[in-house]
Amino acid sequence: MHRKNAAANMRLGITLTLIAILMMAVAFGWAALYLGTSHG
Amino acid sequence: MAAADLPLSRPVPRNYQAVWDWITTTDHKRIGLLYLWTTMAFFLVGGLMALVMRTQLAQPNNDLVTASQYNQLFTMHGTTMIFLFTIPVWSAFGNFMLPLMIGAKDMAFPRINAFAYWLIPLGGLVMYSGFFFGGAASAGWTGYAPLADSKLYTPQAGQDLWILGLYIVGIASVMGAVNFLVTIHQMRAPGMTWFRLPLFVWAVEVTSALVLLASPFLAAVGAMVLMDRQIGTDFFNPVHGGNVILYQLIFWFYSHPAVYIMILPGFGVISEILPVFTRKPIFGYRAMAMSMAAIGVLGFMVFGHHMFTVGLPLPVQIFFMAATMVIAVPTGIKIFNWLGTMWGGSIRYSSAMLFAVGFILMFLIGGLDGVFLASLGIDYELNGTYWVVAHIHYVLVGGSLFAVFAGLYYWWPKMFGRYLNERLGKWHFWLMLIGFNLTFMPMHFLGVMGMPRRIATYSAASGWGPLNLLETIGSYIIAIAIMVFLYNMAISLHGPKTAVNDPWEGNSLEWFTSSPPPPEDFNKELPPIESNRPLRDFRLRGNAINPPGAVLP
Repeated sequence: MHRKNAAANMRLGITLTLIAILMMAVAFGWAALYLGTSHG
Repeated sequence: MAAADLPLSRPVPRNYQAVWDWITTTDHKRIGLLYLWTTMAFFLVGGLMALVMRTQLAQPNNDLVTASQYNQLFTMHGTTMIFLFTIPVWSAFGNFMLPLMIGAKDMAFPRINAFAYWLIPLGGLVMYSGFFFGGAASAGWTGYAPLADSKLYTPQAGQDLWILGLYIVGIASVMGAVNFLVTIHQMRAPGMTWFRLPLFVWAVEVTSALVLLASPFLAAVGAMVLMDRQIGTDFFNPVHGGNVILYQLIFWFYSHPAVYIMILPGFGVISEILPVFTRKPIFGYRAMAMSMAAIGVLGFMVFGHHMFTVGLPLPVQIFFMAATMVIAVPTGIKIFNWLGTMWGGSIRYSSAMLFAVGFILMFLIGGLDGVFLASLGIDYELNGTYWVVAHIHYVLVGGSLFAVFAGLYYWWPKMFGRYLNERLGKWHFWLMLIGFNLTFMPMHFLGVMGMPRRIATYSAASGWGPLNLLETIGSYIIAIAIMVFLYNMAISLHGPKTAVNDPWEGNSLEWFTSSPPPPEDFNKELPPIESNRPLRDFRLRGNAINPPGAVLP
């Protein structure tokens, strides 16, 4: 694979992985918000 | 020379070379086959557990297994079929076929691809190891709090191992999704524009986006349960400020999209098969692609319909009911377009086509019985009954599993260079269709009669015995159908490699290369890609794909 293409693949792959990690943080944020506003 | 090609410092004994080659392979086709064999093995284990459960339920007051064992069986059956078969089996087709269909030599990240595969058997073994440590998980495949959250109700280590196993399998799913997305976005052959992509590739694109965005929510809720169990946090313990409903909210935010993760690739497979065996273009290509994208988006907006009975505010329930009805629109577009494709076509009922048509019919029933569950008032009545069991199996067996078999009969010659026996294929189909409907159709009636799901036995006075016996007979017919398929596979794999490049006169690029394909997929220049049926265009220009005089199946 051409080095330039490989670098583009890496950039997109890393971006998508970061999005997945961000979604996990969103889930914990949702939990914190829900537990902070609900009453048992 | 790439690092993977460097000679090993200690040569592998010749006897083990073939095994070593498979263990260390980064070839997308071999990884696809590894996914196929692994998921099929898990499917057989999950199926055996189902047979034990059906035998237990064949008559009232049966004591083949204890209630505790039954809890473990239905938990591990559901877990196996969803997380170790239906979701990863699409990676078998995706890995093998997707690079071929877009004209690529491999996936974008071959080593990550191999690593992701090996996590699947590892995750499965971790989950199953619970059987040897005081009992496997027993809180159902949904693992609801407080049942799965507190050691008071599920003290066994198997429940913790189940979460760890899910984590491992989930990481594999996300790694696979990233790989598919990058491959589709970056590695398409020249001319392969978005609206020239095979619909199976569209399906993998949408599915991978769902996996990427939804799976982290399962990981998060799993982490919360594990922390509650192991270090004493109280995410789901109302006594200390937690909330059990929170579990369901986050779990279903993942698990409803997961239903589409399991079914969308099946939509793609059926959309590949129907045009080939009707000798017509797919009806409404763009609408088909866009409806998959719409299902992906709407899939995140309907998760609350799993929670109508937990006491959500009424306006919220009405929103989720309406959103669920709306998602029937893109799904209906697909059904109508499949029928439009068949309408007036020169239909050839091969085994692949039979399973494709069976898929449409069974999935339609699964969609229709789902409408009842999506309706607030009716769901209050049917929630937690066998109606729900019928619905999920019509969607995931009548839907996904039929599509898996359709895909296997269709792509088997490309994968192995051999044909499956068509006569046995038709036996397989009819036995599956009869056995499947005998097993799952009566569950609707049992649901209406009030039989709860997940009970280990029932009294004779309930009147549920005859229908349960019928279901058990049906499940054994399914088992016979699967044995017919295994026999078909075995004789095919022991037969000579006689498959030509393009046995079905296909439309997409995977049929351009040899069967099975060479290591770098294509040993000649690709044909020009000027439509979503490049291979048909190539044939119509007078080019031969198969050798002269080749006998097609």
